[in-house]
Amino acid sequence: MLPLSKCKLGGTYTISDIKGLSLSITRRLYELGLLKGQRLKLARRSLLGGAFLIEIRGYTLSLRSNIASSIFVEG
Amino acid sequence: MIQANLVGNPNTGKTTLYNTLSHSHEHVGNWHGVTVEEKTISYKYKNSDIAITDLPGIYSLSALSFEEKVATDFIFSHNKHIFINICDASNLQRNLYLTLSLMELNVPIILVVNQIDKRKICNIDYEGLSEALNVKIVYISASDKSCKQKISDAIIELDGQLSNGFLPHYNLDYKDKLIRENNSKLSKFDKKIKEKAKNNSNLEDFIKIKLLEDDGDVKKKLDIAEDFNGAKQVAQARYDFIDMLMSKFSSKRERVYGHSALDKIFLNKFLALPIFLLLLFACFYLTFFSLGGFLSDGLGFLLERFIGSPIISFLTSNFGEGSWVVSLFENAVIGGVGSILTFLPQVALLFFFLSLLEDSGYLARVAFVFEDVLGKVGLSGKSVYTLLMGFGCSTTAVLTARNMEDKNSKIKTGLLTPYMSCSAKFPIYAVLGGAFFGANNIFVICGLYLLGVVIAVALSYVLDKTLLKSKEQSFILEFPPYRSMSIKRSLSVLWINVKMFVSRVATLILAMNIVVWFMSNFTITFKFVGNGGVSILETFGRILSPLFSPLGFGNWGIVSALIAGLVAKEIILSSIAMFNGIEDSSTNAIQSSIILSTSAVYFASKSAVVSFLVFCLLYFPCVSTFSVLLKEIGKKWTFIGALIEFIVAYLTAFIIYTIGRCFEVFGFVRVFVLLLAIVLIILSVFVIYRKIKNRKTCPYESNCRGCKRGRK
Repeated sequence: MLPLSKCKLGGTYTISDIKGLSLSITRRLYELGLLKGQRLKLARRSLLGGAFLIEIRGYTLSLRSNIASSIFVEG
Repeated sequence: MIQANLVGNPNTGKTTLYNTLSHSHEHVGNWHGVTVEEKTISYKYKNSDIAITDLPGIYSLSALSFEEKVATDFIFSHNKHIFINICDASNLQRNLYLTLSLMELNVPIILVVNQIDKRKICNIDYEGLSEALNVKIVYISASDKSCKQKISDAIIELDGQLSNGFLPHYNLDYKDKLIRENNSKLSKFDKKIKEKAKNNSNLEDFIKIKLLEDDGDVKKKLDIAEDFNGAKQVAQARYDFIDMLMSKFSSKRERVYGHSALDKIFLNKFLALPIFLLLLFACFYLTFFSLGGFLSDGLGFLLERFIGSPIISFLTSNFGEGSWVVSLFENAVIGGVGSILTFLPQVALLFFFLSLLEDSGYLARVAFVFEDVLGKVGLSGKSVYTLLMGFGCSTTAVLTARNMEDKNSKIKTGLLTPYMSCSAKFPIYAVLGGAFFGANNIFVICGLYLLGVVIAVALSYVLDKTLLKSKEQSFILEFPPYRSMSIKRSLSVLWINVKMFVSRVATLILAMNIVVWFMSNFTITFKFVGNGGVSILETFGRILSPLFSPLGFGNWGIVSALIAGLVAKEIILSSIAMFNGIEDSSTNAIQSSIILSTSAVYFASKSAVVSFLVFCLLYFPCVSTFSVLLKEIGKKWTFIGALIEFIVAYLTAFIIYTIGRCFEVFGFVRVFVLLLAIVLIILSVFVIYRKIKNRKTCPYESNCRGCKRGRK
């Protein structure tokens, strides 16, 4: 289990947990479909690593790095 | 009157549908959160009056940002209305999440599935879906001309059923199961819930689910402090249900919504920023110089030839030279308003390019690229939208700060927007800068735009470290797909902006010009200045002008123009035209007048004019932006913001003027060497300071892990 922010670009991972974020942000991630067992693809990282782009449930989402490091995934 | 609300995820075409239904022209874009407040309009269809309300986009009934709160509050307080839930066909499974939340609230729903993109991502069996959920589904596509008819018919049909006592009943298997499984946690609040729901069993269920989700507002209303920790379970149940529906009624998806092959270029680590800057530069160049400049010159010529001159010769022959009527028309109407009106093509083009950036879906990419910087100064990549809109008009841009989630970030974004040089300031740069810099004026103008951005970012950084720390601001942004702009839409964008600009010039600007004309042509005892005497504005201007001498423009005309410009920035240029007695609408006349030392508005040097332009860029947005800020961020911060603007404007103009004068007086090389030395000294002091500070705060001192600073 490792945070999404440490994963290799282009890889596909399975979400295992989201922890360390406020309730409202965590709830929003759930609502957007970031739930345990969900597959996602890490598509892109910004130049300084401040933002991440993922593909999940057939759509594309960009996230701040603190969120990406709170999403724990398995390979 | 039948009342219907448009509800849906961001960027699913709610406002486009609203415009189609009501024949109005609200602003739409290919971006999350263009609509930030509810808007209602009514129309007549087959003898029925239908009032339709457009709401900001939401993902669920739990609001995160301020615009979402506008929408959810409206939904809860108007739950007797008909809800038109619009979904994007290309992203249906995610969109259905909100649909389920609405169905849990048990409101009457018409599900509108919008096929925005021409290429289908997958095939969906809408009849089957409609039956499974027990809801009416209307399928529309962007090119569909009959969509108004389809939706209006559906609204009238549903309204008829409702007035015959029909109650919506949706087939949500998971809902009862969720409540049953959590009964042990919920049962002790049964009494409170029943009381609140007034024995409406559907509302009871809804409250229970909101409690499981730990919804702050609902818990507060029921005075419950306990944590239920069920948000994950609720979301999982809804998505499991959606997956079940999708596996039954949808074919396999062919590609991902949003991310596209073009992003390989536009989001390339090293190319992204240069591409953005190049695009922006191209937009500005086309708008202000090549195409826009050409059109503007043409318009100026036509206005002068066919409107200006005939009116003046008519008036002069009837009233005689030197009468106040001639002066009013010559100076206030033709010189003042005319000089602004010639900028019509440029302003319209600027707004057109901003819409193009927005519609194309490129803006979300810009937000992604700038998250690196904006995240560090306590904003979010999403602020890019507000700041970019600020290049058009600060007043409307400030409203979009509602897409922020954190109160302090919203205040900051609102305060920073006026530093983006708005379209009304451009004529000042073009005319005054042009007089001194000629063809090189393009660099002055680019510099001014850049200066505004740099100051905004720096100020945000300072505010974030001091008074306005961001606490909960984050960045979660959905990527829309790239879309091209239709010709019809381009023309409509251009037309709306031409109309807006002309009506603004014909009302506010004209009225203000007449006021300024009056104040600059009559004495305090209301005598026409033509007969000798000092005008009202000149009196005040002379009192205040010593304040501005250190900035290089301490003459009464300039100061009076700045005072008049508090109302709207366009008036600065038209006031200058009036004070200098310009009698036609061509900008050349203004340009040749401001370099004459006998004029009321006169600039002695290049540094004086640059200093003035910098002051105009920074000093105060305009009355309408100020009043919107009062509403959006409150009295305290609006006034503090205005104060900061004056201080920043004064200091920056002072520094630029002083440095500029030094260059002019002592020569370029000497001053450059001196400046370089100062910068180097400051930098080295800073580096030394950092080194000393870091040594003290090394977190691993007791249990050293070893790092670049060496092992202890």
